[in-house]
Amino acid sequence: MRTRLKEYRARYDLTQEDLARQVGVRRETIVYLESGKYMPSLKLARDVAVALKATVEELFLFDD
Amino acid sequence: MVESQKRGESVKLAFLAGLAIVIALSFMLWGIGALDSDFWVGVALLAAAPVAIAVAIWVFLRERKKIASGLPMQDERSKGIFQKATSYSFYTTMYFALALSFLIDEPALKDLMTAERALMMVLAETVLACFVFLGYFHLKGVPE
Repeated sequence: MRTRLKEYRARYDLTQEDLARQVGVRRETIVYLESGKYMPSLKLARDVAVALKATVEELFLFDD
Repeated sequence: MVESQKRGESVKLAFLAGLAIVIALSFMLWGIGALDSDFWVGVALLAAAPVAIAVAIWVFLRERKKIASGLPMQDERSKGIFQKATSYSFYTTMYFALALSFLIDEPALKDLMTAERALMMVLAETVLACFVFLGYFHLKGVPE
């Protein structure tokens, strides 16, 4: 899985901590989400998408 | 995080840190009591308890800062890591207890291995395995 979180975060000038605070998770979770290592729950994916004013499909990219 | 949530998280954190310190102090007292009968067990407990207390205080101070800045103490990833680590430590305990059950009747261990010591070994293995798996999954970052 690849993500465009970093790109969208930069667009709104948000730090990882800002985004973590907005969606109610720890900063480390945003780090692992950005690197594509952590597969989020549907709720977290939606919360991140809402915070970054994007859709889940725009943020999380699957190669298959 | 709203103020009431922050307060709740802070109370939960203080309770957990307090509980860890109480458990460590109990082990310290037990260690003092064990010095006469099991000298090295007593020394090990007396050495481990202050380390556990120091770690509890360090974690408390670090997490308190995070909570004050609006970040939660736990989220779905850290809960997943905790669940995976505890379930893995449970499985290793099963194997450990099974191995111990084969060894316990060995003539060389018969005098050494009392029921209390065997139980303590199983408990220590569970706690140790849990910490090892927690450390491993935290380093890895994901509960997979």
